[in-house]
Amino acid sequence: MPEQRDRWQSRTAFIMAAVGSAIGLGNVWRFPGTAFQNGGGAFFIPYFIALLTAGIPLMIVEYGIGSRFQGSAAKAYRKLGKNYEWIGWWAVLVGLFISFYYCIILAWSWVYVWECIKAIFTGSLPWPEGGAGDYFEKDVAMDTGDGNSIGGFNVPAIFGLAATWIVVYFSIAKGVLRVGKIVMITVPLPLVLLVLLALRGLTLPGAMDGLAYYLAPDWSKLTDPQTWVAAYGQVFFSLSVGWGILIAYASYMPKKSDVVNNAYMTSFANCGFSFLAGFAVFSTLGYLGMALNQPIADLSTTSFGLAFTSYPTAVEMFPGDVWFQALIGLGFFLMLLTLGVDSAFSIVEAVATAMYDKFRANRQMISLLLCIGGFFMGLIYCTGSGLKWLDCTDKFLTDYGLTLVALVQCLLIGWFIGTKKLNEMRDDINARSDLRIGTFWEICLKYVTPIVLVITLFKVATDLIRDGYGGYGTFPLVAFGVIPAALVLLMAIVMQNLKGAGDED
Amino acid sequence: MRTSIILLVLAGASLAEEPAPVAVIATQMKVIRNPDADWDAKWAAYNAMKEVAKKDNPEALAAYEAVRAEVADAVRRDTVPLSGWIMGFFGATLLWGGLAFCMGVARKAGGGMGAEE
Repeated sequence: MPEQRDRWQSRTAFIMAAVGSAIGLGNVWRFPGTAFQNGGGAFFIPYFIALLTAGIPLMIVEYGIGSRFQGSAAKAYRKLGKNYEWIGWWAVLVGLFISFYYCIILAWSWVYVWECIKAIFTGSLPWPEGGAGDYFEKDVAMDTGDGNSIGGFNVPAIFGLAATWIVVYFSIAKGVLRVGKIVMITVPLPLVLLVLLALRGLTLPGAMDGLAYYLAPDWSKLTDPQTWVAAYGQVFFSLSVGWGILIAYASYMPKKSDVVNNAYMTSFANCGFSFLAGFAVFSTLGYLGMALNQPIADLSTTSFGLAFTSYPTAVEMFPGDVWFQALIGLGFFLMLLTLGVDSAFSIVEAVATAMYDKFRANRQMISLLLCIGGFFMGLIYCTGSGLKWLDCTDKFLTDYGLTLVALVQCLLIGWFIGTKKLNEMRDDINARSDLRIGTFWEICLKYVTPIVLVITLFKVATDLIRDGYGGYGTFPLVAFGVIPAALVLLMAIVMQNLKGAGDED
Repeated sequence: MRTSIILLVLAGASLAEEPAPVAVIATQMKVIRNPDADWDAKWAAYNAMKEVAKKDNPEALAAYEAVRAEVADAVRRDTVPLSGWIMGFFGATLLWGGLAFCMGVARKAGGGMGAEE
C-alpha cells in the first residue's frame, strides 16, 4: 500500500523551513568577515555570480529530485540508479556528524542566554571587563584539555546540549507539520533581532568606520582567485545544498510543486539575511575598534572569535546601564540560538526522513533515537579538549566531507545519470515552475559547479598538506577528523546494502 | 668551494635585503605619520606591519603594539566612500529586490504550492 506522505501546510511553510535551514550561524559570523577579507563591497560581485552559477542551480536540482521522487536523498538517488543510494546516505550522514558538534555551539549559546538573563536582574555581566575571550575559553567552552586527553567535562554545556537536543526532538518528532509551525517563529525572530541589533550598531559612534570596511570596494581583490574560491565557498555552505536537507524538505511538497522560483526565493532570502548581518556586525566592530583604539582588522571578525569575544566585548562597552547591555547580549545570543536551531533540526530531519523512507519504522522512534544518539555523541565535545576536537571534526567534515559529497552529487546528476534522464529532469522541473531553466542551468551544473568544487578541494587539501592544521598533533586530527570523515562514507555504503521495507517503493 | 662561497654570498645578500621585522614597522610608521599619505597608502603600511607582527615574533609584535593606537587612528575612516554606498545599494537591490520580485511572481502564479494548485 503506498504511503501517505506528510505535506507542508503551505508554500510559505516550505519556504520558511528551507530558509530556516539555510540561514544559520555562518550567515552572521562568516559572511560579513569573509566579505571584509575579500574586497569589501567588491566581494558582492563574485558572491552574486557564485549564487547564480552554483548555489541556485544545485538547489533547483535538490528541490527537483526531492519533489519528483517523493523521498529523502537516499531514496531519490536510489530511484535515479540502484547503485547511487549510498551517495544520498553519505550526504545526510555527513550532516548528522556535523550536527553532533553544531549543537555544542548552540549549547554555548544557551549558556550565554542564561547568563545574560541573570545579568539583567543582578546588574553584573558574566564576563569581566576586557575578558570576554578568556570567559568563553575558560568558563563556557572550558578549553582546558591538550587535545590528547579528555580533560574533564563541561557541565553547563552538557545542560545546554540536552536543551538543544530536546528542542530538536520536539521540532521534528511529529514530522513537517510541526516543523512548518516552528519555523514561523525561528525564522522571523532572528530577523527581527538582527534588525534591532543593526539599528543599535548603526547609532553607535564609529559605526561608519566599520561600514566603510564592509562596503568600500577593493577592486584589486577581484583578480585574486582566493576571492572567487571564498565567494563560491560562502554561497555553497550557506545554502544547505549538498546535505540532502533540501531533498528531504522538498519530498514533502506535492509532486507538481514549483521548483525554480522556490529555489530563487530561498537563496535570495538567505543571502539577503547575510548581507543585512554585515551591517549589524561591522557597525558594532567599528564601535569596538574605536572604543579599544584598535584597527578593525585586529579584532576577531569571524567565527567563534566574533560571536564569543568581539561581540561580548562590544556589549560591555555599549553606552547604558548593565541591564541594557545584558539585554543586547541576550538579543544577540538568542538570535544565534534561533538561527542555529532550525538548521540543526533540518539536518536531523534529513536523516530521519532517510531512515523512515528506508525502514518504514515509527517516525517518532527514529527521531528519538537520533536525538539521544546525537546527545551522547555530542558529549565528546563537552570536554576539556572538546573545542580542539570540534575544530578538527569541522575541518574534515565541512572542508573535505561536504565538498567531496557535493562534487559527487554534481557529477552524478550532470554526467553519470545520462543526458536522457537529465533532460527529463529539466522538462519535469520546467513543467511545474513559475520560472524556467535551460542551457545555462545545465552548463552551471555540468561545468561551473564541479570545476569550482575541484579547485576548492585541491586548495584545502594542499593547504593541509603544506601547513598542517591548527598546530594539532596526529591524534586529534586522525581521531576527530580523518576517522569521522571516513566513517560516514563507510556507513553510507553499509546503509545501501541493508534491506529495508521501503526499498520497494 | 667556489659554489659554497657563492651560496654564502647569496645567503648574505638575501639576509641583507630582508629588513628585520622591527625595521619594517619603523619604516611603515613613516608612512602612517606622513600627513601627505592617503588612506590607501596608510592601509598598505598597516598590512605590511601586520605581516611581520606575529605571535612567533614577540619583538615585532611588541613594537607593533606600542604604535597600534596611532595606527588605528590613521586607518580609521569616518565616512563610507560613495563607491561603498553604491555597492551596498547594489547588494540590497539584487538580494532583497530579487526576493521581492520572486515573491511577486509566486503571488501572480496564484500562490499555493505552484503549478498543481
